[in-house]
Amino acid sequence: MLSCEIPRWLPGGMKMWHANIIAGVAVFLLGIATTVMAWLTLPYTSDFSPGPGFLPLWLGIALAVCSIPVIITDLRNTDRSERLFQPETVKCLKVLILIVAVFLALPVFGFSAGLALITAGGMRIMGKRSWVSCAVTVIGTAVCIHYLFGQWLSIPLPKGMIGW
Amino acid sequence: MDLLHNLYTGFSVALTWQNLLCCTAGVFFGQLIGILPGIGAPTAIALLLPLTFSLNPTSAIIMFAGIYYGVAYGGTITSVLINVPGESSSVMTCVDGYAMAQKGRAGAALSIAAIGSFIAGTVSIVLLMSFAPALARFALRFGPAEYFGLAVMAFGLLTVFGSGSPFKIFISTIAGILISTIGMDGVSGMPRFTFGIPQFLGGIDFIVIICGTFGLAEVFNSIEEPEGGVLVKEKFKLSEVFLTWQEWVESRWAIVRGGIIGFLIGLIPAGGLTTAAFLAYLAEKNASKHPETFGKGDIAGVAAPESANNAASISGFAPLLALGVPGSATTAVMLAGFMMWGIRPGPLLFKTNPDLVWGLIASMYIGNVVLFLMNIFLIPLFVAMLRIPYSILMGFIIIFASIGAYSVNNSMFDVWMMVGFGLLGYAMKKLNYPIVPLILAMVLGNLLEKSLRQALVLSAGSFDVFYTRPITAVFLLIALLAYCSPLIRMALKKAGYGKTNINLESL
Repeated sequence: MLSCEIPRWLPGGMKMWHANIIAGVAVFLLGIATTVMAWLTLPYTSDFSPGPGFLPLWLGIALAVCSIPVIITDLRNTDRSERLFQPETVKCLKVLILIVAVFLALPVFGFSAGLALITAGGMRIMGKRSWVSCAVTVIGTAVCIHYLFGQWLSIPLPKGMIGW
Repeated sequence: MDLLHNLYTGFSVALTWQNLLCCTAGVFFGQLIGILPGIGAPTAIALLLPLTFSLNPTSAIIMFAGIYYGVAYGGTITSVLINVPGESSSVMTCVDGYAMAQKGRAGAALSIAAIGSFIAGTVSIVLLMSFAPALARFALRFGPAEYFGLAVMAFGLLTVFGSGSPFKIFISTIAGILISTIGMDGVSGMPRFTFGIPQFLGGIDFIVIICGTFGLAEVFNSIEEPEGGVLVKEKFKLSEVFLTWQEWVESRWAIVRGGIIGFLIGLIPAGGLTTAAFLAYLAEKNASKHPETFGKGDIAGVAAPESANNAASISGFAPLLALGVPGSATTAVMLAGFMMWGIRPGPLLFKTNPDLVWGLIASMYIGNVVLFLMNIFLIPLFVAMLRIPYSILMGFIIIFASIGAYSVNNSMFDVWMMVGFGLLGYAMKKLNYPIVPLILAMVLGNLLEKSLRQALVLSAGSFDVFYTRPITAVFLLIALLAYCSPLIRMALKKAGYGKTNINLESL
């Protein structure tokens, strides 16, 4: 069932425990940063009520405070065997790269064709579909998106070099 | 008499061709979404919301409501047939439903789920008709302090009904409120946390965040952890859906109890369908003369949670319509829809938009009948949908999420934000930070801050207003108890209470 191993260049050895600690620390730093920014850049009070900095300041403090028990719990967690990434995570990464690459290349492909490429590419990544079925999917999906969303629902989708 | 008059108005709105079509389409899609993995009701509604600009608000809301309670029906099919809950509200149905299917009684399980959902749903609509206007009249007494207390209570109840670390629930809630502060401050006009990016001045649109956290994130999660199960029956016969008299006798009180529990839980902000189903199952097991049969194919174990989740999906509209406070992620998305159309749910909605409110309530009667008939006669069709490969579904989700995010402001910036929130949602699920508090907090964050500041203006800066006004004081007391609930639960556990004996081996 698991058809691929985690490539060496992915932090495959990273454990869930590591990631939880890093996330907890990130939340703590976010809380501190929010508090500092709110204190330095936004007024705490205004003439008749709390100012725009009131709520963000206290939210930042609350965020930092709530992250501490989470970090402590994770540090005390003795079960450190669970991996963060599974072999299937490679497919997620491929789909993400596909999405980002197509969106960056939208001036060339346009939205309709771009999304069609993502759909066909996703089918290929996930289900090992043939190139023929992927090609048919690209054409069919691009046509459907163009006419359904672009024409019928009149959403001004970005067009590429082919005019779609 | 007022009630009958309002209901007449409602049916005259609901029985127009456009609204009938929207209701039927909504319940059909809702059932389908309940069956298909990787798409939930909040995702479906969020993805469709930007595309319904051309519909009138009443028709669109009727369709979305149909999706919401249709999903509760649809999740049952996969729970019973392949032991995989189509929706989280159908988790408890897996326990006894799959066991019944293994004994060759899948049809009876699906049938009692449909009957129980129909009866409990219908009763819930009747109660909603009486309760929602009364709640709206009560809410007319609310001022800014009461709304602040209500928002704080809603956040607190997330801790009671949520699962996992309470501190992670707090963090998600706080993060949601923080996100809601991005943009221009409504009172002073000062930009907050915009970092000089002009697109942030208007804040981050709710649809963009939903498309990312519920749409794209679910794609990544589903790729990584594909759900699968063995289909109990390849072919399904219509003749197998009929119950025996004994099965009906065993399940009738489960439907009544499940319906009552579901209705009450759905009224509570942050209550939710899953909690309703879970509590109904536990209550039914405790009330049963033969609790040892639960988990091994007891029909009451299917009837109770299914009745509860459908009743809760209906009563969840009461806090949304009467108070403007969503009770779940789905109603939070619907609230965003209301705002998109310039309609403010709350106590005045019954006066300013009676056609919408009563049309919606009347459409629920129609939708329940349609769903009941679909579940009796169209089950083989829905079972066939289980065979659609996820590699194809995934593409549709990405298309709808991308176009949905783009269509908010016709800007690729929002599409990139959607990708960013998709990664955030993926990371949150991986690290067990719940997403529903984030979404609810984003919706209620503006209400919370605005109410707080208005209350303090009216009280000349004195915080006394939060404990001298009785309704506010009650809300804040409930919120305090809710925030302390993890400690209360720990104490009860040490004292030996709160143990559950659900047979989860079949999960």
